[in-house]
Amino acid sequence: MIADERLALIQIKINRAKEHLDNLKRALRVFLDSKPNVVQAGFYAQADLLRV
Amino acid sequence: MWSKRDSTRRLIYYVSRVEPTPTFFATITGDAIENLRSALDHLAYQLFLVGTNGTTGGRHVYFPIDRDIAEYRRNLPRRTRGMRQDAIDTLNAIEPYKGGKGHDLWVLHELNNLDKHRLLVTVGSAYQSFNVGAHMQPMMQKQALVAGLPLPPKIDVYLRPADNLCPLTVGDELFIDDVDAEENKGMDFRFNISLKEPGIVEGPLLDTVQQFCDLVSKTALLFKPCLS
Repeated sequence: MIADERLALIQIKINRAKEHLDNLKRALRVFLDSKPNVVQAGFYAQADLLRV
Repeated sequence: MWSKRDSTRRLIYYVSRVEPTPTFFATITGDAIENLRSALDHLAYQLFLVGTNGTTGGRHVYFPIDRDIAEYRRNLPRRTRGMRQDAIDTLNAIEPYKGGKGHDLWVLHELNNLDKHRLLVTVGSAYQSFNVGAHMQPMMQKQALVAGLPLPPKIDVYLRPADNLCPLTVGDELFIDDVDAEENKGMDFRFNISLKEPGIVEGPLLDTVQQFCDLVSKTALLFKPCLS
């Protein structure tokens, strides 16, 4: 077996990781496009938030 | 129910809602990491096969990654038995241990152990940047009007905060404006999903996993001369 053939065997695992990465990219895009975090402005600091 | 206590009069932009990060992000990250770590073990096994002319066995063979140089040196002979000297020399040059040139391989190894044996890796929303250009726009327009100059064009300049606040929580403060400042509807805050394992790695999730993919590909190629 030549070096490139041996590297191809190792590359199978790396390619599987890249597939996971591609799936992750797609899922993250959908999640971030849904605007999961909301920002507001106000005249008070975090320390001043009081539960009553 | 929350109340406000009006004390500082400084306008604060803060997070009022955070959607929980889907568990799927952590599980698929763990899967990617596991495949990359095992690619390195497959590489080690191929090096063993070359060194022993295809001898069966090799259950002792792992791609060595350790917590420090002492542990690395102690474990190396056992894990590389059967490999050719050029393969061992290449391993030594990589320094695959914490604090070595191959520190990032140790990070990959640690994340894999964490995911396999203890917990899912920690993934959460993080504060990525805010548009300081949008913040400066009203002031620049006011000054231009006073000076009788044309209104300046809108400029977007995104700055990265010193602390990405990962995992983001309700009440986290993103930007503190002047006393009695008016709310600027043009302020734009950007978020991403980050990986956060204190003492191991912290950074944007996609970039970090991409860097691991590149690192393992590059590492495998370093050994090409040892595979023939």
